[in-house]
Amino acid sequence: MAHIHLPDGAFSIQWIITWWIIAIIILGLCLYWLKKVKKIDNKKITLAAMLTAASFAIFQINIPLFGGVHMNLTPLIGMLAGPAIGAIIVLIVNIFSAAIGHGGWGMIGANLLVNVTEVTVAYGIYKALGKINLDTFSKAGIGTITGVLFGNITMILIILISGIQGVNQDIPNTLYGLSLLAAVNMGVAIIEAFITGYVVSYIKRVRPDMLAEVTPVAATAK
Amino acid sequence: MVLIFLVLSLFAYIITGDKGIEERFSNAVGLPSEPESGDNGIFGFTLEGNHLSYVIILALILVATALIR
Repeated sequence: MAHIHLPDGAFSIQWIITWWIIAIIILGLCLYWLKKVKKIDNKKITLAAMLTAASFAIFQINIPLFGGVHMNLTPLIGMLAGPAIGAIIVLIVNIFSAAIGHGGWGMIGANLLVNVTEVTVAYGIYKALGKINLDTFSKAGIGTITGVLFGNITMILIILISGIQGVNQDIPNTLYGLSLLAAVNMGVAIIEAFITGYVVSYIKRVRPDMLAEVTPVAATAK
Repeated sequence: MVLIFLVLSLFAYIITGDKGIEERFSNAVGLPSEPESGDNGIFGFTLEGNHLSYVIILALILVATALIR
């Protein structure tokens, strides 16, 4: 859900390159993991393609809440596909989004780091809550809210570290402005938590095998 | 937790005012911004970016998904 909605030119070229390099390293690790350690089958690839379509489709829609917000289902991607495939999915969604004019090309590296944080934290929290006696809806909801919270923190850190070109605003004021923005984002995160919670609960009921990686017990329950 | 986040986000919304995400971002970092204009969409839901490109790319992803399956 968190996404740096700044135009190209807001970050200096060295920071654009820096975030891109870090993003490429993370993507490289994900690809290595998928190729050498965790072999992926056709079912996972189909799921990844479906999640890419869903995320891309919903991300371009401006939702008339809090003056206009976006969702991109990154926590849901994390819970269903895992962080490694999730990183590839958010890369594709960010590239396609930039291609239609939603977000700058230079921001893809930084946005990838924000989205990968959301995917990974949501996955980790959902998996960690697996052993606790909570219903699936709550686990997915908590995972979503925590994932988006960490995504917003990453977004703020990236902007503060990079700085904005041609702006004289001091760091405390920028931090204050971004904190307010993140607070608004967290309101939308609650709505996203309800959506993710409902979708994950439904999937667990009808296709528990799809959540096998995150909750191995679910796969045997069928 | 849900209530705390909702109250905080409503407070933040009231402080920052009614504006779109891009304008909210520009104001937060001190960039000059223009109020977002355009069509009102369907019940306030609007599409970002080029609409034709959106349809083409979404169709391509869906076709790719069907082919992989």
